Amino acid sequence: MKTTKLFILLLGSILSASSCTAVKEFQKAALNDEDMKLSDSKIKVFDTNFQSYREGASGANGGKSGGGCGCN
Amino acid sequence: MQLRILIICCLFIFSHFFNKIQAQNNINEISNLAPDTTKPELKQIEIDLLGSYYDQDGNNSPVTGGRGTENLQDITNNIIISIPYGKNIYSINIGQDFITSASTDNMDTDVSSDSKKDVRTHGDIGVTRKISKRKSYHVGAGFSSEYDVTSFSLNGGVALESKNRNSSLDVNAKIYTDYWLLYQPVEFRPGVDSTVLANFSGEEYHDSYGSSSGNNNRTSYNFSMSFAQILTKKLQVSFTTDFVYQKGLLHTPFHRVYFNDGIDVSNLNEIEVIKSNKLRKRELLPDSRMKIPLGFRFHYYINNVILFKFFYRYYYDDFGINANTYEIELPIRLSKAIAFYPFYRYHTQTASDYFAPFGTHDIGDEFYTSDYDLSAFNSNYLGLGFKYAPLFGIGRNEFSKKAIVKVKSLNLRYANYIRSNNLKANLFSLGLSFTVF
Repeated sequence: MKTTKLFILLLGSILSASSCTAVKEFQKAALNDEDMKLSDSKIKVFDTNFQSYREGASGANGGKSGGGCGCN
Repeated sequence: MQLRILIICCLFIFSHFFNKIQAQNNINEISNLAPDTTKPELKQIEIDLLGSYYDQDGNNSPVTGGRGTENLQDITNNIIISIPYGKNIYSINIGQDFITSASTDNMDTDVSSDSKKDVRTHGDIGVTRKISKRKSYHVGAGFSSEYDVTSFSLNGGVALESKNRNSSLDVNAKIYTDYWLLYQPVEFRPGVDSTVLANFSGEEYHDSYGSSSGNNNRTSYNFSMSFAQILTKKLQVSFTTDFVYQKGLLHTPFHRVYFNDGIDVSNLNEIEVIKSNKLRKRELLPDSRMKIPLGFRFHYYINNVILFKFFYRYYYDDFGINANTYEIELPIRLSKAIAFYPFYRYHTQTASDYFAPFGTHDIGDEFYTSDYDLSAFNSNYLGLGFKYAPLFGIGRNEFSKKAIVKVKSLNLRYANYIRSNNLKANLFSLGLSFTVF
């Protein structure tokens, strides 16, 4: 329950933050850096796959959340 | 109660973001209605060759009831091709896993039998189409096939960007359908009883995998939403959630569960326990499961040498698992071409309501498993990545005037995984990126 409250607080912060002053296209040099992408790099697919098999928890990180066996 | 709060919050937040982005887009929508008469042309094709070697060992295999070797090696290779053509981007992803599992080998008592090896082949195709400057949709289909499971998937989604491109929203839906061959542990196969087992060498039932009748399919419905927001010139965050609902066969038919029957087998090895009279059943879990993971990413560009990337995930499911995952990565650039990626991940989870260790389940339990992936544990994952990506590529080859292949970058990655119940794993990954133009 404590974690849920923390998440609600976090979401509220993002909601407020989305009203911040807009960053213009010419100001996005740092944000357009390949390592700043909000998705995982392609090579990380193996990490997320084995973690989804070896841990009861999975998802919300671009990894697979269903399908196949993974029972080995 | 907790589940309801989570769902209501997620729906509220995402509807707020959707309305905001939609309102901004509607203003300029009219300018995008004019028909595009430009002739579609093929752009730069991207090809990624990926491979990995995974090795694990532990002593809590669910095949032998939560006790016994979990030794496993997995060699994988993947090819990902992305072809931009006009307003479309076509993607193809094909790969194979070669698995050697000492644990699965204990499905029967014939050591080093066929059950020790498995090959998983998988493929996905998809197309993403840009329908305006800030809107695109994608559809795709996939399959995977391994020794005992064949899986098919369909997916589709929409991506929207706000007018100032500071916010974006991705909504995706995916359905997986898995078909299982219900291989059973050897002692559950027709014609095998305790008398036969006691004198069993294994060869007798080598070709009889005892495929049993019963529900052999599983369907997974996955609905995911991701909202990304630029906060400053150097900081962006995203919030992601997946709603996953699974129904059908959710247990693994060749996992054993030993019950508390008073018989002491602590001095026997796994094969001797299989041949003993210790009371056991095949794993049994409910036929539906709801999973709700919520993820948060925070990426900060400290300077042109170092970046700070943070990921947090809260996970809830109705099997009783609650989990928290924290991950930090610090990309460090030594030059314009060379970068290192040290990373650390900490995961902690509670046990499923249906989990109990070897020999401790009560015979009256409705559902039961001794799979330690569903137990309470924490894990530490530490590693280092390396990337070599010179501005003009590592090398190039001109096959013809119309086809030049450039080796764009090289990626190497190593990680070490340690679980509090002594499962240990190592993962080596390699990636080569090419462009064809």
